[in-house]
Amino acid sequence: MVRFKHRYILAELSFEDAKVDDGANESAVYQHLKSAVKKLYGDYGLALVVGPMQVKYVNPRTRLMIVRCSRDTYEYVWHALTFTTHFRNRACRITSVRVGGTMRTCCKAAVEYNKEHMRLLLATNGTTEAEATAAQKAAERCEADLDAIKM
Amino acid sequence: MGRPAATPGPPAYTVTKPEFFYASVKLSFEEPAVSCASAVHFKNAILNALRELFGEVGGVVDVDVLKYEADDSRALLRVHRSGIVTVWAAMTLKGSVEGRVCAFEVERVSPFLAAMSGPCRDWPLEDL
Repeated sequence: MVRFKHRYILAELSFEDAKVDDGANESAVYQHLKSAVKKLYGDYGLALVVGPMQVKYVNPRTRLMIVRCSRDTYEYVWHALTFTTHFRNRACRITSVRVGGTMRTCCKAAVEYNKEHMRLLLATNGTTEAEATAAQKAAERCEADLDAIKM
Repeated sequence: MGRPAATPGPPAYTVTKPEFFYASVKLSFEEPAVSCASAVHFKNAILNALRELFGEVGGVVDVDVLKYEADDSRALLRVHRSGIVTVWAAMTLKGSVEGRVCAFEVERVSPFLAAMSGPCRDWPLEDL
């Protein structure tokens, strides 16, 4: 039997006002993607894409999300992500970090992304105590997220 | 057996990739005596069909309405080779225009404009 191949898109969902939206979960992103693909590529595009498409992981705090799509039509989903300007009524931007053939490569890329951002956070650690505790909390959240992605 | 030695004859052209396809299309409504008001409305119906089926990006096809008969709602369209299948599929699956149930009848599609001169389905049998 010929294998059904997928593509896993690791994308960063960043909001303009930089606040965290806990309601941004897998099903919210899935509904948004469906309507975005329907807008860009019509009923035909939606039907091509929607079967194998799944939103695997969304983390509003680290702004990462992983979407699975079929290898043949993953570009439709990618374009829908790129052309997103608003999500749940807030201005945002979605940039792809990594498009991989397996979940593992996306998870590795996510770990690298989180490590890099943790470094940035600690590097901008200010001298006041409030900023120091904020940086520490951010680092702890990143650690928790890295543990959650079981490699 | 072989060809006689060359006196160059008229040039021979082979059409393998026609640039445009011409289509004679009729928009017939379920209600009798309803027709599409103008060429602009007709083209708008086609563009809506493209946008519904293929989306804002997928449905970008240049369609030209070369001729339009308002009584019949019949139009002569010109589409680039790369878009003819897209347009034809969108027209086939379009069920209603401006809320009125209708159907696009594609009568004739050809890469040659001269072939459009006869809508053969409408030829009265007695005249043949």
